[in-house]
Amino acid sequence: MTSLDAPKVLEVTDLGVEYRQQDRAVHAVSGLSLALGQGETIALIGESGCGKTTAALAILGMLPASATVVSGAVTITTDGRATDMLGLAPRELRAMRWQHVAYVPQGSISALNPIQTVGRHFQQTAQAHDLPRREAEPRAYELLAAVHLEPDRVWTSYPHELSGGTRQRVVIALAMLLEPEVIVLDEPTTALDVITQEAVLRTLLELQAATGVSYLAITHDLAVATAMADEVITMYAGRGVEYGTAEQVLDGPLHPYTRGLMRSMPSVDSDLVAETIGGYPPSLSALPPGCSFHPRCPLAEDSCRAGGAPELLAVDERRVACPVIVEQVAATGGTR
Amino acid sequence: MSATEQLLPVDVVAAPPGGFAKAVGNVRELGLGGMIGLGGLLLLVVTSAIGRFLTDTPPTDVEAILQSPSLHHPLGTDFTGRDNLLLVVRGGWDMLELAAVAGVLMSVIAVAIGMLGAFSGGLVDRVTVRMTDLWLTIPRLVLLLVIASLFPFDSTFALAVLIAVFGWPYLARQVHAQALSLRRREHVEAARLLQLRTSHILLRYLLPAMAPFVVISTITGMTAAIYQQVVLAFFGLVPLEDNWSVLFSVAYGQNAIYLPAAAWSLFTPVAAICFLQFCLVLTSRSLEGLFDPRLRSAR
Amino acid sequence: MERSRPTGDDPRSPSTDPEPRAAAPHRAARPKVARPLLKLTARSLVRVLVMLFLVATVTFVAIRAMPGNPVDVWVQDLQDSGLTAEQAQAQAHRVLKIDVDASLWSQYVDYMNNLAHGDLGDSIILSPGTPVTEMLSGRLAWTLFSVGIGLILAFVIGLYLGGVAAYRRGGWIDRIITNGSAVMDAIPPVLTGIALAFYVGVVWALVPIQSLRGAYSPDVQPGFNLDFMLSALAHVIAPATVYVLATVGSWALAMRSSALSVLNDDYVAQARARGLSERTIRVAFVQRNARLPLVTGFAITMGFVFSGSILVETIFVYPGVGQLLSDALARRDYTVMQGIVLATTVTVLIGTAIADTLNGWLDPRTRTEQDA
Repeated sequence: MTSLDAPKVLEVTDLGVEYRQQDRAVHAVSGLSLALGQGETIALIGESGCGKTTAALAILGMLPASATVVSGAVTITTDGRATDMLGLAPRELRAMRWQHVAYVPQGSISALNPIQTVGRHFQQTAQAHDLPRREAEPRAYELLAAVHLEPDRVWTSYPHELSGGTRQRVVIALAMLLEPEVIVLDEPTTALDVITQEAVLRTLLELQAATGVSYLAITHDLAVATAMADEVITMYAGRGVEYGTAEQVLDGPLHPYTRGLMRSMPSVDSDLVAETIGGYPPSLSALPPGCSFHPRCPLAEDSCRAGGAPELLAVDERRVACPVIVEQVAATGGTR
Repeated sequence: MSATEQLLPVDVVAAPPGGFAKAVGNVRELGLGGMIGLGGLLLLVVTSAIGRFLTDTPPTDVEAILQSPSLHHPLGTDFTGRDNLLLVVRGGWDMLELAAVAGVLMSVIAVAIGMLGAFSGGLVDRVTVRMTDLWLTIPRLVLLLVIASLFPFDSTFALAVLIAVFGWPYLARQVHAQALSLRRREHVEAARLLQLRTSHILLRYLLPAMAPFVVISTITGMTAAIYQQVVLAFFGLVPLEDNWSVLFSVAYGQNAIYLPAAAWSLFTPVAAICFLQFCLVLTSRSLEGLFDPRLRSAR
Repeated sequence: MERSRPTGDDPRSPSTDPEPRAAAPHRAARPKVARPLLKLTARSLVRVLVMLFLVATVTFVAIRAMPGNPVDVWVQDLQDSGLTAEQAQAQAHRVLKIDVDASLWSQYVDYMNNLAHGDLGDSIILSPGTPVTEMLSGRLAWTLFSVGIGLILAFVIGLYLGGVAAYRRGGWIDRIITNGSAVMDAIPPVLTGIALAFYVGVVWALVPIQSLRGAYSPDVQPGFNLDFMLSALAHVIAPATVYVLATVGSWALAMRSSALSVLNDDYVAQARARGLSERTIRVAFVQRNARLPLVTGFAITMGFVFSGSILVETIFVYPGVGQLLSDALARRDYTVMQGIVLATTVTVLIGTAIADTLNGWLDPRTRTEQDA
């Protein structure tokens, strides 16, 4: 439930990120904007390679050296103070990280130092942020318990000794150690079996309810979006093409791409065969003219194939970057 | 896939390592190092061929013992008055022949054993790995010297074989690792799952992928063979005509390191050997970069 | 409510949390290391014994069982110089402690039996009648000393250089270290040794190598006194330097590539995301992980350096096992040769076992592996 009154903890305005690949520029992200309120979850959905992870890394200031932020602003508001993330010096950035914005990566095994115990990770993180052990360890134990793990057993284990689901929860607990305002979840359930997925999602929601943390969930799994999101943003070829509440976007998608995504998910209680969206996502270094989606779009018209990328247009309380759909909606007089 | 690879669009990441034919066509990509290396090798081969087939044995000259460089003898003379330059030019062919034969033999054994293990898996793999490791950890040089001193090895070929027998495990280890990683690559997995015949998989997928690596390991084998020969010669176990290592060993035996003038007869063959090694190393490194473009950025 | 008890020393003071919470630790637990390490050591030792057995057999085959083998040749020589067949064989028996006339299998059994009792036979030519073990014992110590110093120094320096090169990849330091290492790698240690002896010792006369022959100066008394130790160190500089120069290049290159690979790994990026300082990342994440693959290379390098000691000790007149082998090769003393082969093998194998155990201690992943 989006409440416009909830104070915004993370605001991204018109973010643009480019990679330099030898002689060509790859437009990984263009014109992305979002506003995450306290205690809320925004899901960024889209296929692999659509720029969602790049956007997340840009927010954290963790872009690799070959990438540059070419436009936009990222602001994190904590205790009433707004910080421009993109303009921070390295030392200030280090202080902001984890304390105010944390990152749970895809694939938990790669998040942990293989030659350190779980406990050592917590100690190290606490030390780096001047949190005395006396406070950090009990809190860590509490968090491990909160994610339904046995603190004693897990504390002395090495990452390779734990199952995928356990590791994912350890990483989540670690993310919560300093009580950040925002946690960016990158594909929180990929590489987990279905049952563990459900458990992890439930844990995430519990934590949110208990602490009021905000999530930015990046996923290509619509089930995750359905379970967690208040707002949904669909990304395609580096752009946000549809914005709305979870209900609006997931139950009544407007953008042809989002519709295609929904249709490609088989449903348990229907006999409809899932349909794929024909074609492949475009190369981010050679985007088609006009709307990036037009080669695969069933509604494409001549105006879609030329000019720049379509602007985000407001429809009811949502936004869609597709003039064709907006016209259709206006013509039929409702969002259906 | 690492996070970084995840970020880059698919077509950028999936660029496969360059194949042999494609690579050969791109001579410019050899880089400065590669060109120097290959150029040097070519120079050595030509010079040594000239020395071996077109010149006569340098005459001994009692009047001109242990001279420093002069107009008549540009690189000085040795302890019997022979011209150093001529000696060096003549001494190369033998070394090159031995390096080539030993290097190829080593490579063949290493590739056979390494690939056998990697692609058979299971018990065969474990046995070959153990064998290789055993052969690697024992002090082979000691054993090599002992065996060379106990049994006669008086032809270049025999020496090459001996050196190859003692030198293959190092290469085999690398071949094995490379073959293992290849085997796990998706397109090979796919071929196996499709039940394509093993010989088909070998010929169409593995050999082309392994070929560049085999070339590089042969060159590495040559470097090792040269080193082994120098050591053997040092202990007087190379009963061959004056190749560089023998020249070096004889000069050393004459206590040349304590006489600055005599040092020329010691260091000319040494310099030649080092130059040969240097060229081989440069060539192999540039080939490595050539065959796997991802490595180039890691250099 | 359970309290966790620590295993091993724990200098931390108990929690002074006034409000006991559900799972608040009294002290956080510590991982158990001892048992898996013992198992690892035991397995390494077994491997050593097996390899030793194999090498001993190979040596036997080379020296005794092949046609034209040196023992037969020697017995023949003895006969040619006047001894009867029985006398020659008796002589051989005395020196080698095996009955030269018996079947090959029984000779093998005798040989293995002798080995098990630590009997390597007597020297034939160099010092007739002296047990080989006696000849080896003093010398082995000196070789271990010089090789050991060289190995450790090369390892430490090489790892440092490799780390620097990785962190400043592409810069001029990196290029110098990388190309320099590749060049040094290609030059055989014997040439480094000779070049060193020549230039530093003779031409530039910086170091009086002539007077640095031997393990220590003749006017010094061996024992636990400072004079002796200083003298020993001075005399080991030359050989140790050659060992370092011969191997530091490959350590640096290996560490560089390992560190680059670790720097690229996700958990390093994640550590940065957690706000850890660069220093912590460099030590706890990069260094500790990057050096792991190198520890296994230690064993191979040991074999390499041991082999190199043959040449280095000959050049610098250092009284180690290498020099003895040099003499034995020249004079065809088979028992000594055989003894040296076995002795160096044992040493290297033990070193390997230590390296394996070290690896197990440093890398917790190997501790839980089922099959070696």
